[in-house]
Amino acid sequence: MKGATVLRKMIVDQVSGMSGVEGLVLTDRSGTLLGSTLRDQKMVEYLSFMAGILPMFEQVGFFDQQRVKHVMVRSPSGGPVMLFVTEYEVLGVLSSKEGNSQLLKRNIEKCLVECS
Amino acid sequence: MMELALRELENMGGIRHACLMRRDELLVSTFPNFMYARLCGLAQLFNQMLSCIANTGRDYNEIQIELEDRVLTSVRLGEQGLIIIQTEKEVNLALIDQAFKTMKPHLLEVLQDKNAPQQLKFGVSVEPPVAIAETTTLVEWSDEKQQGLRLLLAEYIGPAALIVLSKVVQEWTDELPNHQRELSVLLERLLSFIDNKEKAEAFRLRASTFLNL
Repeated sequence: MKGATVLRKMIVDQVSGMSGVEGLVLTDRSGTLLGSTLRDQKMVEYLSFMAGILPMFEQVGFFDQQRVKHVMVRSPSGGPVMLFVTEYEVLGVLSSKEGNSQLLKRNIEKCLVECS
Repeated sequence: MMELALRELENMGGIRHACLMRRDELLVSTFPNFMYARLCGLAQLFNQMLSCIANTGRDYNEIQIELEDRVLTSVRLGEQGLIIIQTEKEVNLALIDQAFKTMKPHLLEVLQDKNAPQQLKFGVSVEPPVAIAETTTLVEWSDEKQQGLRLLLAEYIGPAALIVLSKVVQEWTDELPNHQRELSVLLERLLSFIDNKEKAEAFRLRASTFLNL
């Protein structure tokens, strides 16, 4: 069993190195910031807010008792923001417009499975 | 006409339901009627998410929430509009993007029509949709109390207050006959949704005053 800190470092290192990733934020499921490679503080705050708000809506049955697995926020002019929701943590990723967001999503999901 | 347009969306692969909102007001929907309250809450959630990201100075206008067996997508239309669609997980996003582009002028027309009725048409209709405030026929209960309590609760748990209050009131009315219902019981149940003890106590005091307990 990998320690939580080691696990987080593995995820951050692997995802940060992926093509198309501009930066990432790791929070716990209540949105408390655990780490970030983003310089844009407003984006860090936004991703933390998003991570924190989702469990509340799951809890009150917004989604038919289903868990949120992934969130993507898209823009007509920029790269998407993605959130990957695991049992205990949420990984927020800011990606570039040029990359293939669906491919990046699959690669990150694969990394999260391998690192867990 | 608008419902037909939404139906055409459903004819495209993978799209199950769609609806058009103006703020948190449902204009037209092909979702089942029992989803009404949930759609209004979802619209609040999506609007809040999009408003917050606007503070980052970027022009994000679409949110996809992937659940275990479905995806909820919301796209902002103009200043006040929001379209929400429910799709299967493996949906062709390019197809949906194209459909939105085609439909956007029509959707904006509906949004700008001030005479558009609050609920135009419901696709999977069994009974007319019932607003949350109308779902309660309680002794010592009123729309004003429901609205006031929702606003108060929203200060502590945010937009989830809408759905929390609806759910708790519904359970409360389902479980007890009119003469046995006590507002204090309702209040206790609402308190369980506020994690922070100090905030819960503050809410208790304010809600008790508001409800004359």
